[in-house]
Amino acid sequence: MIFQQSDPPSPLTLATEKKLVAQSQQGDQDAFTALYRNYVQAIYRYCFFRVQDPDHAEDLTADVFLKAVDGLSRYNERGLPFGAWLFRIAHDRVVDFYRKAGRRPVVELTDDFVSDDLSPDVSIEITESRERLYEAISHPTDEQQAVIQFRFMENWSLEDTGRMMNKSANAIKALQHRALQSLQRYISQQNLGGSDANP
Amino acid sequence: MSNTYPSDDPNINREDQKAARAVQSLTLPTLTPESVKRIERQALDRLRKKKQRAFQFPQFHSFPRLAVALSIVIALVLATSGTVAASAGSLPGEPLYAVKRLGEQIELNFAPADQQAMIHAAHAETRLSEIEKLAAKGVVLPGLLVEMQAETQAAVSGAKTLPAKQQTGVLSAIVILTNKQETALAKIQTQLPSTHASQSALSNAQSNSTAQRQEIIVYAEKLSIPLTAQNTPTATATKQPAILTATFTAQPTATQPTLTPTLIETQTATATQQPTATPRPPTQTAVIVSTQQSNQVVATATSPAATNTPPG
Repeated sequence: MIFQQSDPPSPLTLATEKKLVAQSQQGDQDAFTALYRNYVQAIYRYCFFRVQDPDHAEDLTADVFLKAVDGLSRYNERGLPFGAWLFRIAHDRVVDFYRKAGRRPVVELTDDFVSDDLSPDVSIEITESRERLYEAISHPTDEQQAVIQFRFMENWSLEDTGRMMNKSANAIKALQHRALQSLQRYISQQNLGGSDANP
Repeated sequence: MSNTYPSDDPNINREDQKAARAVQSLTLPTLTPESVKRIERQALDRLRKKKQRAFQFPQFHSFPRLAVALSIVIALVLATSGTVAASAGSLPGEPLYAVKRLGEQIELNFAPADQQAMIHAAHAETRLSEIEKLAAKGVVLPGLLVEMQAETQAAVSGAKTLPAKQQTGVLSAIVILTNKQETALAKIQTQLPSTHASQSALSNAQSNSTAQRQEIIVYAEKLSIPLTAQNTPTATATKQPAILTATFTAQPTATQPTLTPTLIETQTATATQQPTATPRPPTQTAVIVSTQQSNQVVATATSPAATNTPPG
């Protein structure tokens, strides 16, 4: 695993995805590769923030795409992005992972998690609370985690995030607000030594 | 990408922007390019096999027992009636071709795991033979080219999962196979008009054969598998040679009912072995002998890994 600033994914329109999926269902490797490369890092991060272990996240990512190939012939587009289906598979794999593991693993966070080129105030702020922040990201509900990842890590628009989660843009905006508030409360709680109570 | 979240984003409340900036400032975990490639290869390999199965045989994922039972019944019926034998020389589009392919699938279904790679290689050889025969009639089926490549890739993937002892023979055979594919496809290209619609597909297939051979060579080098299919003209006898002979014949004829590949491993203990006081490192050389007669390909490689030669 390496750490780097998030690059916005090359957007694929629904029409392009539909075409690529149809070609992939016929066994077209180039088409599947295009879909794979568009989503692989997002799927990896989705798994990573839930299992908090790079090796397990990588294994789960591989598993997601192998399951996707297995189920490709049964996939129906239904107006949603292909990614929505992949994230559903990822969700199931993560659930399965915890069922087998029995408990949540603990990740040891390092400075690698924080980029070097931040503005000083943000850098200090993040450095001080980076471990808590990562913990905080994995703290909200699954949907809130997804919104945080899609909006602020993958840089998807409200609309794109909504399509990915099968929700309206307004619903995503509300969910985003709750997710950020939960995150903010958690950060504040840590900074204030727990004076800010429960969400 | 900016490192901090835009403060003027109308979709973020002012009070939420601190948390948004914090998330945005994190350096994100990302898969390495090697891992991305590795997973991609796994997925594409699965896709290739899936397509291959779909073409060759109905899917019975939900009814594996039914598949086995049907395979046995069909195999018995076809074998006793001599239909499989009669179908061996059939070509795509001919009535018995489906029987031939069904026979191949049954052969694959019942083969032990360690023989699957060689069977895939033999099937790839069969596809090449069909491609050559059809080309002689001026016909090129792009789908057949794809299937040949898929069979070859399945052989490559399968070979990598074999025990080290078996890999030399199978990998050598695949190297020869891909060499033969390239030669045959190039010949077909020259026989067809340069404007023929299939020229591009033939070029692609050639490139794929080259890539598959390179994949094997790189793999063998990485794991120090004693395989030199790079036209090494001579072989040096090691102290205790193990000769791995991989032979597969794929020239369907009426008198050749089966396309069974054989992997014969012969370990010859020589009486001339002379232990010396100073053990020498194993000589990692091999020779690939390719005979073009009757489409028969013979790979012979000395395998020091299979001997008891002490490391140097």
